[in-house]
Amino acid sequence: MPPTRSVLLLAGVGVAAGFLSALFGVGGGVIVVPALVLLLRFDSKSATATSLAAIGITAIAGTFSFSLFDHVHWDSAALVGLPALAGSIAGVQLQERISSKALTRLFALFIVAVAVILFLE
Amino acid sequence: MSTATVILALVLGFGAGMLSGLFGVGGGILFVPTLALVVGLSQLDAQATSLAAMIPVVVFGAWQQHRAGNVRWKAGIAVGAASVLGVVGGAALATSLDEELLRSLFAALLLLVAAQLLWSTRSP
Repeated sequence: MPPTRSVLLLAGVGVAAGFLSALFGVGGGVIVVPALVLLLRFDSKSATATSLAAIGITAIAGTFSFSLFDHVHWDSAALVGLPALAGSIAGVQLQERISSKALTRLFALFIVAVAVILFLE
Repeated sequence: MSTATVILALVLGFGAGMLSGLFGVGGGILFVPTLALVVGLSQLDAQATSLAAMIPVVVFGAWQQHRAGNVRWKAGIAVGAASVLGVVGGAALATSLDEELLRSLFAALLLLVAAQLLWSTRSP
C-alpha cells in the first residue's frame, strides 16, 4: 500500500475512534483493532498492541477535554481504575490458560443484560 | 459514598479489569455502567470518568505490549494523534445530548459489542 494511503487510513481510523471514545467513554479499541486488521493488514496481536498505544493518547485527550468542564470525578476514577489495573493483570494471566468460546458467549450475554438494565433505568 | 458502595465499586473495578484482560475488550464498556449504576454518577460524568479510569490499565497494557515488541509505534501515534480531533467532536456532541438519549445510545453500543463478541466465536 502506498505510504500516503496508509497515513490517510490511520488518520481516518483515529478520528473515528476518538469520536466514539469521547461520545461513549470507551477506549475505541472496538473500532481500531478491526480497522487495523481489515484495512491495514495488521496481524491481530500487533493490532491489539498498537490499539492500546493509540487508546492511551485518546483516553488522556478525552479525560483532559471533559475535565475542563468538571465532568471527571477523580476519586471515582481511582476507585474503579486502580483495582482494574490489578484485575487486567490477572485477566491476561487467565487468558493464557483458558480461552473458551462458551466463556466468551457467556460474557456477551452478560453485556446484553447490562444493556437491558441501562435501557430500563 | 457509603462503605458498601466503595467496596462494590472496588470489586467491580477489579472485575472490569479482569474481563478486559480476558476478553480483550476495553474496560470502558464496564466502567461506565459501574460508575452510573453503582456509584450513581450521571451518564455523561460516568463516561468522562471512565476515560480517566482506563488510563492506568491502558498505559500499563501498552507498556507491556511494547516490551513484548508488539506495538507498531508509528501507526499507534498516527491513530492516537488523529483521535484527538475526533475526541473534540465527540466531547462536544456528548455534552450537548440529553442524558437519557446518551444512556440509550450507550446501551445500543453495548449490544453491538456483544454482537461482535458472539461473531468472534463463530466456527471458522
